[in-house]
Amino acid sequence: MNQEAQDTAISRRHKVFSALRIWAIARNTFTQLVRMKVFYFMLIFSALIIGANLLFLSFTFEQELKILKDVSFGAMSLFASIFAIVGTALLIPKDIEDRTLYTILTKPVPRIEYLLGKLMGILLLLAVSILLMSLLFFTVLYIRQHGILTEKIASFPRQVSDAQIALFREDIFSRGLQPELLLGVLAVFLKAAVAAAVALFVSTFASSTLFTIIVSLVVYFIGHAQSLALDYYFAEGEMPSAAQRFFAGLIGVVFPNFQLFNVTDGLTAGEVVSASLMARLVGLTAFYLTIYSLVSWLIFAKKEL
Amino acid sequence: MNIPHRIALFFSGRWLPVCLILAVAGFLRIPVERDMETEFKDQGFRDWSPGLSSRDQLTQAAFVGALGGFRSLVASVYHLKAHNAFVKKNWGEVERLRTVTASLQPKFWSYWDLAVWDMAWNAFGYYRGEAERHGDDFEGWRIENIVMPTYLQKGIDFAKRGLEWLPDDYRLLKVIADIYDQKMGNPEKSAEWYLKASRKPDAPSYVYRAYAHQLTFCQGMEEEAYRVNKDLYRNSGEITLTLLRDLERLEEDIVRRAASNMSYEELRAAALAEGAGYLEMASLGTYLLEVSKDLPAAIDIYGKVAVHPGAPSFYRRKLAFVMLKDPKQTGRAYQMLKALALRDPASLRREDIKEIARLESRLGIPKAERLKP
Repeated sequence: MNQEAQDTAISRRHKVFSALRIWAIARNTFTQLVRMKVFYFMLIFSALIIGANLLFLSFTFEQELKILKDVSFGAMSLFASIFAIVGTALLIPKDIEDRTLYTILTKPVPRIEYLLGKLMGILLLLAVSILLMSLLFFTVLYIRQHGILTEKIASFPRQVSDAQIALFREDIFSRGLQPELLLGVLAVFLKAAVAAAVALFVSTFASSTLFTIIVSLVVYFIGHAQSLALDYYFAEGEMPSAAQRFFAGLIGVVFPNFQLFNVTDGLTAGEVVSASLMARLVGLTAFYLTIYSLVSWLIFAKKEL
Repeated sequence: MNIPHRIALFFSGRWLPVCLILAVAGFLRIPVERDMETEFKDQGFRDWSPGLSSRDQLTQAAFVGALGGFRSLVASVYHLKAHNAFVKKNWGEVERLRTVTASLQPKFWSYWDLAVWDMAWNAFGYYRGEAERHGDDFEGWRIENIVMPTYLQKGIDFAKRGLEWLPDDYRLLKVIADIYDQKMGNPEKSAEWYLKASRKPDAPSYVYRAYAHQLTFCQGMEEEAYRVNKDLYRNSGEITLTLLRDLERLEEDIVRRAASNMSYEELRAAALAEGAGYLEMASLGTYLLEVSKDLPAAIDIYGKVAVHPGAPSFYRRKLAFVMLKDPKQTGRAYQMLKALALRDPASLRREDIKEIARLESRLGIPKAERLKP
């Protein structure tokens, strides 16, 4: 077979879009991030929730379990968002610095695949981190709720009947480890995923890592107030001026609505979120990821490296 | 490069499609997000609005935290701060911090309950101690008549504010009733709030029993109190000591009123009529015992009351104590009381057990056969 025929055969085998290539980049990105020793955060997370478990024993079990859930979800959300923004902001500059980016892009890898691989890598890291944090959180919550039950039975002045124990168990466990908490974990992941997509978009045109982190954090915080801006835009009764409405509408259109992902506040207070609403939240996240990947590619495709 | 040229470059380059995509995506997602936001509100997930008033109450960091998705965590932190203020007995600070905590998560009933508890129990108790310390001077009077009632009212106000968020929560209604009952000694108001609480879906049966109990203290509502307590006795299937005592007290009043308002002939006719109720018989018994002082006739009629199928168990106790007035019946009365103590101890009172012990000594009952205390 001559050279020309070989080239034709190779180019026929080469696909325009390959999920395997994206997966290879994602795995590589995941390894790259793990090597940055990001999992040391687990030590801080463990200290936080074990501390929250031990420090507040003088409250009623309801308050104690709520504080434990609040601290755990709060820390989980904070760590996930920091990972998402900082981790993503580091990716492209690090690849440029290590020259890995040139090695990849000189091969027949489309830039969209490179970006999707990077995004998938960070999502994989977020998923693993949140999974580890959830496991630790659920284990501590499980141990604590059983501890509370044992303490309650021991503190009862009379012999406790099986029916009473069942009542105590139901009362305590209904405020402890419940399947609904998994929806809270999912919401934390979805929010972090959107934050990562935003950071990826910013990093495609950013001049430095610091710029990406700062801009992404600003977007993250404004995104939490985005629904307030829309409330202003759709205000009933006394209408704001046209300029104010335009500005409020602009915020609503440009910034993602991060407040929508705040499910844990209600869950820790005992509210129940419907499965259909969570499914729509997943759909909305997919929409955000698609849009931000698309605009990231538009910028990155013509970027001079 | 002049500015129009820069703008022209911007729109001819890659940024124009980016802006267009973001704008179109924004317009597409906003209606969906508004719908979801409404649904979240309906499911109780958006119960805090970061208005100016909450900005005044929260520190800057806490406000940003609450806005940035850590509202529940900020509420927990303020709850801990309120606990510290409680330890220091800084009641003004406790009130402020409890207001913030409850407003951050108004659907979490425990925050309202804690606020009520801190105001109407802890602060109130603290100032009661202060009033006692000051004795009869003006400061003592001021604390007792102005400060203490103010904290009770603050407790009630917290519970009522909580009810705006949790209108179906019986616990907040009950806690208002508890304040009227335990702190203000107002059985009418207490009964009113216990009744409201008992009508809520998750209210346990003891809330309605508390309503029935409070009714027995309400002036001019004796008939209603008797109707409610009697209905509980007949139909609830849960006869508590309080219910028995209340019913006994109410029936005692009815019987005494009948005995003092009716003549012997009227009472006798009512008691001996076909299908006469045990209350008519008891009225006649009371008349015989207290007006005509006819002990054998009173014992006879109380004997009929005690075996009446509708009569509560405390009439057997009553019969035993009437029999004790007759020295010839002491032995029988003791046997009756002993049987009651073994079979239905709830119908006896603490002083009855002492009376039985005295009887055992007087009758020379061997120690082995005596009732164990």
